[in-house]
Amino acid sequence: MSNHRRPGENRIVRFFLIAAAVVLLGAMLVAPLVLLLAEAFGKGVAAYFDSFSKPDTVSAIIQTLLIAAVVVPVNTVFGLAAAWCIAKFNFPGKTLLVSIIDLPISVSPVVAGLVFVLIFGSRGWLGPFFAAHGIKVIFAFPGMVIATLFVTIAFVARQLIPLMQQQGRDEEEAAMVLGAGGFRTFWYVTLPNIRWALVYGVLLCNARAMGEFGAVSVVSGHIRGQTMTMPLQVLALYQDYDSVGAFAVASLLAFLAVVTLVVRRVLEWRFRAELGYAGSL
Amino acid sequence: MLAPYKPMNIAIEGLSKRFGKTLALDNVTLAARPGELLALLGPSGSGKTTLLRIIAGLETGETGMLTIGGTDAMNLPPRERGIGFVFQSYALFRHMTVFENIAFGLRIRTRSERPNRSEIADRVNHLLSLVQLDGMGARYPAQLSGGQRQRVALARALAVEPKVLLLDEPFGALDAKVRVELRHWLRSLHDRLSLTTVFVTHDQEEALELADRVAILAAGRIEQLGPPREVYDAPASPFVIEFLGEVNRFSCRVQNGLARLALQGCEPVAAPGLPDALAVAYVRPHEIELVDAQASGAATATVRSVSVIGPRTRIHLTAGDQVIEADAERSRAEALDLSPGKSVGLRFRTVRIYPTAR
Amino acid sequence: MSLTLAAGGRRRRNALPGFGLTLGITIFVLSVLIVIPLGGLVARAASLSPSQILSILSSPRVFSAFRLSFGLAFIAAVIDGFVGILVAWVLVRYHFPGKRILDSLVDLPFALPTAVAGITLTALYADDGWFGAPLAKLGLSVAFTPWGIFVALLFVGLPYAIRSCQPVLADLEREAEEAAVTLGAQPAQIFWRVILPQLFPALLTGIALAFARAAGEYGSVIFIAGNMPGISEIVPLLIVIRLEQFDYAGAALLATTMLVMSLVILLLLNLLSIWRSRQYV
Repeated sequence: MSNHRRPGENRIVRFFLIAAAVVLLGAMLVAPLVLLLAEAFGKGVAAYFDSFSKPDTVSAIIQTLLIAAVVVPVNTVFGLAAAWCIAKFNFPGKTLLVSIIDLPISVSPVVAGLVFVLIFGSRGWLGPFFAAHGIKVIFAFPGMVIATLFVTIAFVARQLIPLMQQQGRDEEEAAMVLGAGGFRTFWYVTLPNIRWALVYGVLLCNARAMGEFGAVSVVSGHIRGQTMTMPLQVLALYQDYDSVGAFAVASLLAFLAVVTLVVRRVLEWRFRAELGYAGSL
Repeated sequence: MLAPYKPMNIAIEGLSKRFGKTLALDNVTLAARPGELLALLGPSGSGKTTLLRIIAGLETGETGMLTIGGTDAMNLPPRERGIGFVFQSYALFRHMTVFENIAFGLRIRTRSERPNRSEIADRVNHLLSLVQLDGMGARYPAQLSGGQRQRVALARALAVEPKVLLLDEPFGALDAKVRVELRHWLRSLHDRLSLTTVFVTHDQEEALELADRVAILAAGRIEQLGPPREVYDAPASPFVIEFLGEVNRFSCRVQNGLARLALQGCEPVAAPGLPDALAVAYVRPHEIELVDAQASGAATATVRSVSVIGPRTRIHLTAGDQVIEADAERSRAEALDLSPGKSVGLRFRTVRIYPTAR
Repeated sequence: MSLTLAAGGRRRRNALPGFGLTLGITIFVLSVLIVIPLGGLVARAASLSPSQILSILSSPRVFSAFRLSFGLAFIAAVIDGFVGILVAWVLVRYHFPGKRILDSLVDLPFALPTAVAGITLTALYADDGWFGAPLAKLGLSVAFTPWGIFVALLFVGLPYAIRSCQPVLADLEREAEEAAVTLGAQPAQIFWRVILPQLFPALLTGIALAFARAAGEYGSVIFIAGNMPGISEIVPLLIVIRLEQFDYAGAALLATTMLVMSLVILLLLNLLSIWRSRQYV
């Protein structure tokens, strides 16, 4: 953080640059948020809260919470496991492993949904097998969970790996020498050191799990009242020309996003050192 | 109170360790006697830290034997070896206070072995005063100076009543003044505890001053093991003499037990037992006596520059292509009236000769 | 399967425990969730004959979708890059009220579910929207045209560009600029000759990340695009349409081309990071 005046700095240039950045970010980021609230409350507070009493919307909210309830714990365990072996040990193929973890982030969410349709769909490899046993994966809850898992797999791991690499393994070794076993070492030494990065990673994973659209859209089948999640419900209501309803659901998701960002800011401000350089994206 | 430690020996035999293709330790055999302070000295990459980590169980040796206090420790996990380890980075738990750091090893014991709350507090407070950090228990590592952290790391290692104490570059991260203070303090602590202690260092002065015996490592092998005086006065190899302080190196030829240095006017030096061949001769700067240029039997050299370093004078000389560094008392240097360009005579008090290339 | 590999040799025991277990979990999850499904995707695409592949990829509808998706994603990413430099510069170098809030907002497109972004951007840029109305008066319709897609892609890629440039700008040595001043450089010269060259690899990284994200974007685009075949239809949408027609192989082929693009970008990013680490040792 350097806020000193730099050589050759011109006050007019400085003013225009700040103004340009503020206007650009204002138009690109602030305006959508403001509009979101304006539309959601466009027909009054009552209409806003009314829109949450529709059975389809309630069902979509419940579906979303259920998906997150499965996906977040699984990806947290995966993230901790992946970060432990990648950050604390050296082994051949490590770079490849890290690249594979990063892959879902750069793959189109539609592709993420498609791969599971190819496997579990009615004309997929395993589809007929599951159908014969009465298990519905695609156009049902399991498929939506799997697609969401794919999309959010990296979020916890990516927060933890750089931080744990930077912290090294000295403290863990010290604990081992002092007599701690593997579990105690992790619980008393490693976990306290990464707790805030973990909290942020879990929060981010949760926000993405609840907000995923493309991948879930492909595997959900958009069955109203059954396989709709909140983002899918936004589209459905929008297509029904129920603007307040659509923006009301959208406002919940936006609130979640803003909370995630605020928590991140607070964590960064309070525990800068403990978050390490992992903070971004 | 700290229980009186029962000093244990450490014995290592034929230990080897490979990292990928590099041989980090090559058939090392070494023993630390009960209650002694042993230094592992060597340049970086010599394997000294690897050796220490294998003793601690943080690395595993591939072949060889390791016993601590007579027990085979080769396959024991670190916590069953009865060791205290002080890391170069101290590795203090940054989220725990000083008190909690020191108490950690006691608190994590199973209930049957764990001292009760007040016993732990007593032990920690005793250790805090032992390392002269009374009243600092509530601080966090980040609030301490480097020297204080070092002492916390030591107290934490001692809290579990180890049989042997292992220190990895204990003074490496400290500035020069603190370093010397802590060195003396550690020596007196060691004498009080009479605990077998092994420490790793790359600083030859530190090793020579502090240790009862010094093991000098190079490229995964032990070059020499002995008391400081012995390794300094009778270096076993060119590596050892070059590593322990500054030294002038001359090429020479041995014939009939006499070595002739490639220096004009220099008298042959006795080299008993050496084969007739090319060899190298080493002379330390303080083992050179400066005399008049015309003195008989003295090698002649030309003064290039003279620097006064406190009580001593360092004289930079050349003799042909050979650069020579010599030390003299200031009074002696002034008496000779040394100035650049002047010719002087050199007499060597001690010359050590080694055959070239094994 | 992973456990023998984990030990990295039979007798070698590492002081820190848990390597085999965590690596086992990591490899298992990555295999089941990512590697095998993506492999299945490629296999499905490979079941097509070369002439079928050629005829699918060269159909006008597919061709224009690729041109639209990749072309717009590229332009949006480059513009994100320029905005990224500006915003990063202002956030790193200047002090002004509201800076912290602005800084936090930068991550909004990353945290905001794409459906929410889609619905708000559509309302914002519709011909009767806050931004859409004035633009429509100028004769420029944004929503439901390719311009709308462009706006959405600009939005989703922005944080990547800014966050890539920010740390590099913050780490730049003040001395280098001071040295340039003492050597007589003008402010513009300092920017072009001293700052930009150091920033360039990070800028490329940011642009590549923004491009990868934009090319695969689905959620926000389908709200705003209008989705007219041949005009405002993106590749991910085409994949969904093929899937709805049960043309699994065709969908898999399009998805594989998207996947290949992701892999190429991932490779590029790795090369960039190697370049960067070499540059600043």
